[in-house]
Amino acid sequence: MQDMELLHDLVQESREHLQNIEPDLLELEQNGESVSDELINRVFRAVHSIKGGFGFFGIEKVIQLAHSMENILSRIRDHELNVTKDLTDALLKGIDKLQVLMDDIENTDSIDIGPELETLTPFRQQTVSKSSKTNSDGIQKPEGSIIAGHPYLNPEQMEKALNSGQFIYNITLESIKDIEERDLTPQKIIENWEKIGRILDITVNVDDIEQLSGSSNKNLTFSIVFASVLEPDLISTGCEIPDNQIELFNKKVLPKSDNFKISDNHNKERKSSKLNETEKSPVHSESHSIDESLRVRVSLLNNLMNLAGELVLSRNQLVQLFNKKLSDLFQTDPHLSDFNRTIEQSITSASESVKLNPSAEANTLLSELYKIKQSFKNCFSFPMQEISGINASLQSIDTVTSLLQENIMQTRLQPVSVVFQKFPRVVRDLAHKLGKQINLEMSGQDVELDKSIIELLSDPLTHLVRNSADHGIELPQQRSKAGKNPTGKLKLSASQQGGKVIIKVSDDGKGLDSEKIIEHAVSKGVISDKSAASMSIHEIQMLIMAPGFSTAEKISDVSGRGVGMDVVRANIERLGGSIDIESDPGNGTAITLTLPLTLAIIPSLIISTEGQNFAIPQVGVEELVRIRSFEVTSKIERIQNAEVMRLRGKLLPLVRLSELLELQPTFVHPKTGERMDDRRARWSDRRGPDKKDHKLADNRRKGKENRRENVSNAVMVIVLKSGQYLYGLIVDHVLDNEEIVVKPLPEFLKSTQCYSGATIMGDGKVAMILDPGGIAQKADLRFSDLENESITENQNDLQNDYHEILLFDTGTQERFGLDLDSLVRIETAESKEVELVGNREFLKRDKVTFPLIHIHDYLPVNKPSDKSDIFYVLIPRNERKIGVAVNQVFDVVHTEYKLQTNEIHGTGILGSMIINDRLTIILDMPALLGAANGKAGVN
Amino acid sequence: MTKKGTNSSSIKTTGAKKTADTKTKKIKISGSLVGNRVNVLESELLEKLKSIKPEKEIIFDLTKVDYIDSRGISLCIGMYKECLKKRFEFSIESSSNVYRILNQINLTRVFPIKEAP
Repeated sequence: MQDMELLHDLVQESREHLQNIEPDLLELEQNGESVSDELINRVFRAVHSIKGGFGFFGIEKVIQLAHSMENILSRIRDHELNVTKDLTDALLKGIDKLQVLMDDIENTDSIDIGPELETLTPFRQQTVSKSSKTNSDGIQKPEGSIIAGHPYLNPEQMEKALNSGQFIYNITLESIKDIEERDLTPQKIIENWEKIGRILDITVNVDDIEQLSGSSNKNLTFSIVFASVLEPDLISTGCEIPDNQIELFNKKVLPKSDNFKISDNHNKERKSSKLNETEKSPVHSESHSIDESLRVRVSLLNNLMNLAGELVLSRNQLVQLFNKKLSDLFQTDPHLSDFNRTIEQSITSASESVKLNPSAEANTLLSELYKIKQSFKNCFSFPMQEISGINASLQSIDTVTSLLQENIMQTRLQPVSVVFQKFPRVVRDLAHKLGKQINLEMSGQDVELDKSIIELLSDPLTHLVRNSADHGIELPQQRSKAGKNPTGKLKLSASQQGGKVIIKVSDDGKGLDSEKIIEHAVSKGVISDKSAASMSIHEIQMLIMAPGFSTAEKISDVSGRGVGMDVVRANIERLGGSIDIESDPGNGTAITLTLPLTLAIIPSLIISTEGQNFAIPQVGVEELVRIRSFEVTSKIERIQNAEVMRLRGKLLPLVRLSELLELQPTFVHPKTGERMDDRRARWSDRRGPDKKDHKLADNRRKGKENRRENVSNAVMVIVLKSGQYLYGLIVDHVLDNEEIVVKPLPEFLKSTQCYSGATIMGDGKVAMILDPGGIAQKADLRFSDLENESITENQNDLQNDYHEILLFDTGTQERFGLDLDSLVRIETAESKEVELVGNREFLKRDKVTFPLIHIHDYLPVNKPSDKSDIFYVLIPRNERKIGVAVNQVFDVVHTEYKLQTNEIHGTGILGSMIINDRLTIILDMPALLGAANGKAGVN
Repeated sequence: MTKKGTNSSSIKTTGAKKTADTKTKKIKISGSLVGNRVNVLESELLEKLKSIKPEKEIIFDLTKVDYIDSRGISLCIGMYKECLKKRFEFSIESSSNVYRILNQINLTRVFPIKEAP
């Protein structure tokens, strides 16, 4: 089991080596005859490490292939071979096959490495023929202590071992120190060593023992000639014998002294070889950096990430809990409610006693009971936040949790170079294949992205690069004709902008041909002739990513592979990113990918429908549109039996989330606050203003406010992006913007299309994360039909986006705005008109008493320090009369409704707008009333 | 003379036995040739060798020895060296287990070692 873990670690490490070798080989090829020592040594070391590492496990195919490559690399290093294209091809093929072996390391026996060895052989033969001469010279008449002590050593065996990439060592064993004291026997040692190499000869120094007396206590020396692929710095560990007892036989096989400066962490951690004084020193010079990085399992990081996510959720819950009032606790705690009930019962019986016997004592008793009740309630009427010291602790937990999460997130970040590094090879091979000259420039490889994004980015990016090389950059003669440099330029760049990473693939090729795109798109039915005529150049260019644009006819073994640009776009969007094309015909194309840094925590819009909360990733949200209650029938129309909405002259298909998800329609009972099943039909199905029964129905409602005009019946539409198209999602309420921790979707929900994950909200409830693309797919939206319709529509509909906004403040620096449509009227009042019942305020007007609420009690806004004597009361459209107390009303402005939802958000706040050069918080009256209703029972 | 060994199998050393050929003396050991047991055997063997006249051929019979460690190997070499001094011809007959290790460390190059059938 442990061996398997070690093997997998080695595979991972070797993969990294292979990734590094490829660009180095390409650079070697580019440099031609001027081989850089540093570069060739780096490649040599990497191949050598792979060979050595797998030597431990005796994985022959890897050893054989790596040895062949190492052999050639050593010839290059010794300037006996020039790096030609054919040689680079052979080495790259070897690298590819090593990669294949790594991918299936447990079944390497079934992988054929014959073709790769054959390709390498011509280069190797030159090496072998020359080196075998050297070897035979060295081995036939061996010199040095090894051979002197081993007269029976078989030179053929040695040569065979050396030619198969093994090192030959002479190892001295001391019977007492190395065998007895370690509770071993010679037999056991031989068995152990045979696992990692081959014993070529053993001699026992019989002269250590002179006589029988005392012989068994004498130290006996064994001299063992041992052949192994383990490199010099590993042999000591492998044989468990100190370095100073090991001697390397043929120094020509040993890497040059600078090769011992092993650059990767793996080898730094291993003990240095002390085989030769001249070779050992460089190892120690870099050993101080050993502990700077550590290999950690991804599963462990994922666990940490999950735990950090849970901690964030717990923190959110804690914050929410402390924001509640103790009175909430009072309602839920059975002991407190029992106590409350007892008081109520005592009051009732006392009242009855007073009625029967209205004595002064009974009255006093009753009033005392009332006082107890009030004091009891007062005890619990302050928020927990006011408990001394709790705020500071809470803030500290908040900060530490955020930092912890941020740091753990960073552990998952990887540089984009992980993906980029394969492109020099891809472009080189393509250029050779297509007969083109392409110069690849890469920048920003240090920019970091989450591991999961990096992994998923590889395929789409490869497709884009292949496309540029195949279809973008022209043949050298065509480029020359066009007055361009015959060598085309392909640029791959990455940069970070805020929380996003921008990756750009650009070329200086022929660019996109708009006419051909239109022709193709029309022939494939992607767009109609009519809509083609009104499309901008950019829209035409974006068509290459439309579903159905790519066809099987286009498949080539270069860029085709059956994957169209629509799949690339879909993949990028699945990552929460977006893709854009800019093309200048004749001068090139640039494709820009915008990606989030991480997929684990995403900014989301929290919405609710039929009492259920959902999260929509902000990246998919284009804008929020609130259709006022009396505009519902005019703005939401039906085309071909589907609902659509007109937005700035364009028709957007509408999807009702509750219907799509088949949620049972519900409503909140105005008196009980209970959520109940609703059997009413939807708004747009009801009478329009032009319908005959309109007045009739209104008469039936005589004496009551028309519910259709009630502010709470406005329709909230989230405009979502699905590819290049937009559609509207009808939801009940927009609640908040929140950074959510994404939890993977359980297996049984994966087929539902509509969800991309799940999250846990601050209140501990699960909310599903909606997938805008999946929703469009499930709702079977047909955008092309609408394009035709929208052309015929009157486009001059801009006035619909202007709203009358009432501007006011609450006695603080904050300025608020409210859609005038949500109010019935505005009144002034004096503080003396306000009556207090418990902690609730009431205002008496025209013999009607109605509750008065303050915005700061329910929404996350500042609380005024003083109360003014005269104030304004906003009366919203609501079934029950209620007043919202504000300090001052400034103005009513007719302004374009450009709501910003990112900066300022929260329950009851729609967003912010700049009105008259001032930041204005736009309130959501239904949500405010809902909060007041829920928290304080205002109704 | 019988002694109990340190491991589970009984170890029995026998004195030099006369074979059909009076010039050849066989010294037979059984059990395992390991650890401290070797020290005990060492002095017993010295005693045996003292009583053997020169120009004899000594066969160190390890056919009943199932296991040998580095001390046992040292003992074999010590026996060989002692025999050399006393001008005895020395050889070993051994079980296949013992032969394997003595052959692996190439003691066969130093003195004759025969694997018992």
